[in-house]
Amino acid sequence: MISMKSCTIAAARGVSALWAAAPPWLKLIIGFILVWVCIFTVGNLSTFIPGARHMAEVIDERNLRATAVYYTDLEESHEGSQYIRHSLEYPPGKE
Amino acid sequence: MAEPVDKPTRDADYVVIESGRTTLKDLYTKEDWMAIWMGFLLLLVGLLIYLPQPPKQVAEIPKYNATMKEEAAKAPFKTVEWYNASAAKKAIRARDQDFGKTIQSFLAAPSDWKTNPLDAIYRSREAADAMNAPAKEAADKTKAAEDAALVQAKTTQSAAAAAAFKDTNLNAAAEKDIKAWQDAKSKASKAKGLAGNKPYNRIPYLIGLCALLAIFFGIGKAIMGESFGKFVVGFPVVFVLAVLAYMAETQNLMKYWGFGFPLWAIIFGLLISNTIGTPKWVQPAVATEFFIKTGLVLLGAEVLFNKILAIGKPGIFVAWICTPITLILTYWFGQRVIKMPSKTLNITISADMSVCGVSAAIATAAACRAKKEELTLAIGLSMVFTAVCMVAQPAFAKLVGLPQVLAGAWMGSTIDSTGAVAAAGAFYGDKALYVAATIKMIQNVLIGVTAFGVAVYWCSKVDCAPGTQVSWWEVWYRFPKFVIGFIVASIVFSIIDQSVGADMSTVMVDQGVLRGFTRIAREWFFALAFASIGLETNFREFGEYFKGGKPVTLYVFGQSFQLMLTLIVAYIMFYIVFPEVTAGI
Repeated sequence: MISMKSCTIAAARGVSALWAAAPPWLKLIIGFILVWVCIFTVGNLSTFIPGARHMAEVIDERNLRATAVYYTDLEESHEGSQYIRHSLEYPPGKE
Repeated sequence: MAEPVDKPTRDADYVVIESGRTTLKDLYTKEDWMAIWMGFLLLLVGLLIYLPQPPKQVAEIPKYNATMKEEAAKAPFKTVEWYNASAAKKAIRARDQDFGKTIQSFLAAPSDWKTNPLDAIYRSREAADAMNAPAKEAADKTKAAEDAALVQAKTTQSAAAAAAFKDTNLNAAAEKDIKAWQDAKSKASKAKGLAGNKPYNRIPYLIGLCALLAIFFGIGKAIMGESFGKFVVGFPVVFVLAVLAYMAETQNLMKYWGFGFPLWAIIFGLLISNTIGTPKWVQPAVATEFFIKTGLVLLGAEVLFNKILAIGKPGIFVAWICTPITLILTYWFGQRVIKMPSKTLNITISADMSVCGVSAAIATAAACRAKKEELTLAIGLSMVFTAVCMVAQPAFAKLVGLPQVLAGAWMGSTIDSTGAVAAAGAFYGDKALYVAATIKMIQNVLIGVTAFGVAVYWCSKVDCAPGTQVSWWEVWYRFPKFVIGFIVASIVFSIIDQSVGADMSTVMVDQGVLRGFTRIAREWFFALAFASIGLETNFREFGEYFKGGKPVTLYVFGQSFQLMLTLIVAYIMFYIVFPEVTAGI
């Protein structure tokens, strides 16, 4: 068990030393490749998690911008507030 | 109240750098003031472009209002004509005019893509046609279904009208068919959107935009006494990172998780600065504070105080009572219970978690002079938790059977990011989406109060030695001046919004000046700011903030509290105190 642990530590140190010795441009390229891989692996998780899959379908169907940071970045906030305003200002069945 | 004080050192680590006494020269040599003038200039340009040129359809607005009023008085349900008038009114937008479309094309960010990143900036006619072909059949089918549903709705409505809307069975049948028509219409509209892909070539526009922004900010730098040439030479690198960040956001799989451009811009910047290092010739263009403050001044114009009345009193209680309570309690918890060493990180995470995610984090971090690493950490935490909440919350609401309005109000007030709120609301249903998006909009307005409050509190309490009191003049010297621009922009636009009336303001301000110009510019400025943050940050500096997992503990505590408090308050407000509002939606 101890030798296993020391092997792991040695391997980690080896990788760390290798990384430190790698040319900067290589590190940059590896970094971008990792981001690319991450996008397609993490992103694909949405097809395996049931709730996330449904969410993805909703986002696609409505063409929602789920990354919007403010209400003006999103058309739904305009639609929603207008619908509610019309509903409250002109409620049916009231003279 | 003798608590430990983190006395900030005035170095380049701070998002906001302000020191010494204010002089008139500051008005054109300090970044805070320059950001104000540049933001105001853009807002003025936006007003001059849009306000004198209202779309012709605005003349129809009184007619649509009269129709809705008439129909509402006539029938005990929303008739076909009521919905048509509402939809026609919603569709009037100043930015849909030719000049508005040109501005939006010029400023447009990269588009969606699946496997080939180049699709984000170039799509041929053949590619667009190929995308539209499979969707065309579905679009035709849903349109036919919509037409059939409309005929059916009109028939049952006529039957109800023939009985003078006195027969409850006929009324219920008409209401049901009208609802079915609305659903069919919504489906047809979505299908039409999927079949409406157009060819584009964003490359020349992006080159033009890069040049324009380089000149715009370069002039600002030159006025402040820095080199215009050096800024312009380095700027394209920052701009390219911003474009790459947008491209990562618009990748088909990433948009499902709500990972937006701020996160990607930081990641790409970090990759460069921590591998090859940010080249010296790029550094003059790495102007985080300048970009962020100018963006915040533009954001101020989007903080329209009249919006808080969008869903009546219950909306104010849910968004404007629960949120400040959570913000203050979370900050207190961070200081007193888990003893977070950095007050600025504590308040930035508290604001980001309780108010509205990234935008609140940016405004608060700038107002309290948080370090760039702290802002980055707060945004990262927010995005991860948002991705979880946007799936988990509607699933939970479904599990316990929350009504649409309650679920919408709960999700709108508790999920950080505005986009994720809409996605979670849409997951649950149309009404939940409308309520969630509206509650979030009301909460977004809190950003102005939060930024101002935090800036004043920091200048008067946090940034001074224990037990001492500072004069108001001292508070003024220390005050982050760009916040004044932010607040003034908010007040001026709120006055314009109020004075032209809700209908005209929606068409000309919200759907004109803001969404048709300054909002898009603001987003670019934030993308440039986050790329700059990445370019001047060292990975190793993050280590100390993660010690003991305190930021995560803080976030989990605050979010859990907010989830419970908001659910209780939303239920009380929408179902016990103001049930008539809920019934009307």
